[in-house]
Amino acid sequence: MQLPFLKKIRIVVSLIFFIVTLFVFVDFTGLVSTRLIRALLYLQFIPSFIKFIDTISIAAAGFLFILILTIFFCRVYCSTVCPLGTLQDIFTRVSKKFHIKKYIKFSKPQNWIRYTILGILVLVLCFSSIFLVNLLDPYSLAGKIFTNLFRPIYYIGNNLLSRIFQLFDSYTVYSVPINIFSWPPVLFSFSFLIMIVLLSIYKGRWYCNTLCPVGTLLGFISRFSIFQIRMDESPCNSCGLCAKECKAGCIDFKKKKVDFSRCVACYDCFKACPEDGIGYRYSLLAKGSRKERKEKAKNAKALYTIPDALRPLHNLGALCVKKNNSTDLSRRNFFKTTILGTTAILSAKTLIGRNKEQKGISAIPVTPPGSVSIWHYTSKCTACHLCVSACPTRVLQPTFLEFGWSGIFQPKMNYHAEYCNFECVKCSEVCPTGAILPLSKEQKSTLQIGTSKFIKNICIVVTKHTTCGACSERCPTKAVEMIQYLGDLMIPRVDEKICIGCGACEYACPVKPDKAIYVEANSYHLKALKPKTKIIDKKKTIKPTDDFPF
Amino acid sequence: MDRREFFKKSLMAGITAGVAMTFGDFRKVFAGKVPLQKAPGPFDLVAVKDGEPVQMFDKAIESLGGMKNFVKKNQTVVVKPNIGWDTSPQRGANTNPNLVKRIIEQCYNAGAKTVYVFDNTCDSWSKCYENSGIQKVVKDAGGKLVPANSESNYQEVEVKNGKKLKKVKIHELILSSDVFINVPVLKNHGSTVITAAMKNNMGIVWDRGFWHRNNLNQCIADFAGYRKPDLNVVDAYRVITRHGPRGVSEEDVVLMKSLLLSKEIVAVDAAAAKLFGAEPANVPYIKIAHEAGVGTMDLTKLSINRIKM
Repeated sequence: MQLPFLKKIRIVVSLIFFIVTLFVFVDFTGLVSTRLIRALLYLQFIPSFIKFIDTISIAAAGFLFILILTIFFCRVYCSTVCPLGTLQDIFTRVSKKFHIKKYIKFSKPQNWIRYTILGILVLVLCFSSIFLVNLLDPYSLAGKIFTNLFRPIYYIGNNLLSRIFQLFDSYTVYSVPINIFSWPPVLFSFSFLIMIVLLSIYKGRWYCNTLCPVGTLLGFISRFSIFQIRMDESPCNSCGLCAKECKAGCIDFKKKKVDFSRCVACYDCFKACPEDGIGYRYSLLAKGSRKERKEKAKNAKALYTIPDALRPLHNLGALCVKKNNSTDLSRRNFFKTTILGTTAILSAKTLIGRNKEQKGISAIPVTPPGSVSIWHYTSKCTACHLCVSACPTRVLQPTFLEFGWSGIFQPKMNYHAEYCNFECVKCSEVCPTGAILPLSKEQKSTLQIGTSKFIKNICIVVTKHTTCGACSERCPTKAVEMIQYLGDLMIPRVDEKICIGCGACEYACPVKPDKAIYVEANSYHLKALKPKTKIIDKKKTIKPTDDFPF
Repeated sequence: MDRREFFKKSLMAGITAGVAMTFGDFRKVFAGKVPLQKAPGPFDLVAVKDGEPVQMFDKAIESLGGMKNFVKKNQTVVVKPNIGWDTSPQRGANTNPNLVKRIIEQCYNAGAKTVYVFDNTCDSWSKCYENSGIQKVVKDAGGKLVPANSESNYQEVEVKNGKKLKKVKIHELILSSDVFINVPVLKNHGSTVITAAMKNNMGIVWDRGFWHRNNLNQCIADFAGYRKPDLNVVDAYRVITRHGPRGVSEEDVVLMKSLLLSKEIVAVDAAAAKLFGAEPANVPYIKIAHEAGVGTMDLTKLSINRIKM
């Protein structure tokens, strides 16, 4: 049963996923509908898994679909849906074209590293932390590369094009600002990209088979898949052509063995084989199945011996699961206390580390509307930076360590970059992990993510005795209102009850270097009162006169 | 920019019998110094009441001798409405889209080559353009809506008589176009009492923060002395009377159904203040501009055409 067309299908599917995902990340026009974005990212394993833990709904069950697919056909995810996988394939392909490296030799699996990483990640996720997940999840890594490297390049190209169009008096292509407020995410993405380029050229899918937690988990399941890519005793003549094509380096053609745990189901070997000696085989009917089963048993044993070293950790994990199985409430409480415990330490650290002279900076970073609380947000966000790309105003900006080590690179509301549009809920619509939960515009209009704090003594009105009002001007709820100060001079006053923390005031404040008004984050997002709309003093309102007043 | 301008200018010269034209352009670049054209007709200011924006504008411009007195054949025009806010037309925070449309149509009827429309918005520009309704009307009328969100389109100019504002970066289209029509909307403003024509100029400059830091009222008046629009059309149809300049809801809006038209930016702001129920002398930037001789806020010295529809 040779299926050479499988490779073609795989290439087409992977390119569709890759190109659309890439476009979603670099596009600034909002051309791709949020429904399509959601459908596209539905199958991304880790985001879907994280969302599922919280919601337990079909809407977040994409990872289950991948699991079922893996049980049937091995690691199909890695060669189709995963954007990082396709990115590596592109580099491998290009390097082969230019004969940099002709083929990737069979190597031994780095099981120790793989399963240790997976074990730690599972454990960490049990404790509702995201540490390492946001550094290793392949989708989020691809997202970081797309957002922090490819997107600026795309913008530069667009801006050049816009200048050319302007020469011909056309404004259909408009320029987009490229402002980078935090360099570490860019440097990280850049060094990771370099690493992945070199690895994919010289070691093939080394990342996927050594560091990637999704690769390890799906690889583990692939050992027991119903259909596996196997080499037959005959007609295979151990010519080694399949192994030469294999980018994962998982075919030991001398022994006629394929390491299912590392095979990424790319089907390159199918086409390479002149004899139909390799292909999908029904695992239970495979030739020499008894021998295989023995081998499998041995493998399985080997597998179980590995976590021995991690036994204490494993026990902790079991404890966690036990708690999970008891009532929902206790699970929640358990989670809450662990989250609170860990983040309290982190936030305490940020608080202590805060310079007293640093005025006008929120003690904790402001998280986007829909993120519920800093704890919810930091324990769910894998820092894929899709919200950063999708945000129309670009107020969402990646951070470095502002959320602590476990929240490395997670985006925050950066009010020095821009402010949050009153009518916009884009980030909550696109977030694939549920770190930012969907919101309606109505809900958002009274959702308080922080409150404005006015530092009177550095306000221009006080220091220069001239009028300003830049903050009040932009306030969408008029929580910042101008009141009388000296004579006709007006000064801002903040009504925190109706403030939603959008940051318009902070962005607009012209005071340098520290702003005279800033948003202090709400660790738990609250509900603001509706802005005042009723006319209280009817005498003061202006009525149109019957005649001209001049 | 030089190349662009050159390109545009030479193209224009080729198409039209351009000697007079080119001279006209040259003068516009130094417009701050050059006395403005004599007002057509006897009126310095036209005020209209109780009509729809389009009809009021048609009446008003007619009483100044029609648009042809302001826009000559093959000239390029900038229409600068207030599109600063991501709000619907009903909220009155942006210039009435129907009025903007009518002005563009009139410009083309007078023979304009291109009519550009832009504003350096406060809220996100693409949302402002779309939700204000102005994107649609500009497209319908055949105008060119220009994004003004890139610093590369702004050029630094010197403000010779400026007290606080000595240098400012302004949008290149203001420098390269022949006619500049300022179309503000009259509104309450939290710190400058009202906003109308003079304050609308903040939408053609890049760094507004500088103005806010360095005596806002003085900067507004300084800039008014640098570049006077060739025509000011103040939209006072829906007027935000409190919570300005953005407003919070439609309840902040009063239907005033008025329109002001004048070449004189200080006078038109003075009249707008009166409409708003404020004394021009109590609006600091109007007073400063009046005292600096940019224009006059004394409406009694002007010939005003008052039209009730």
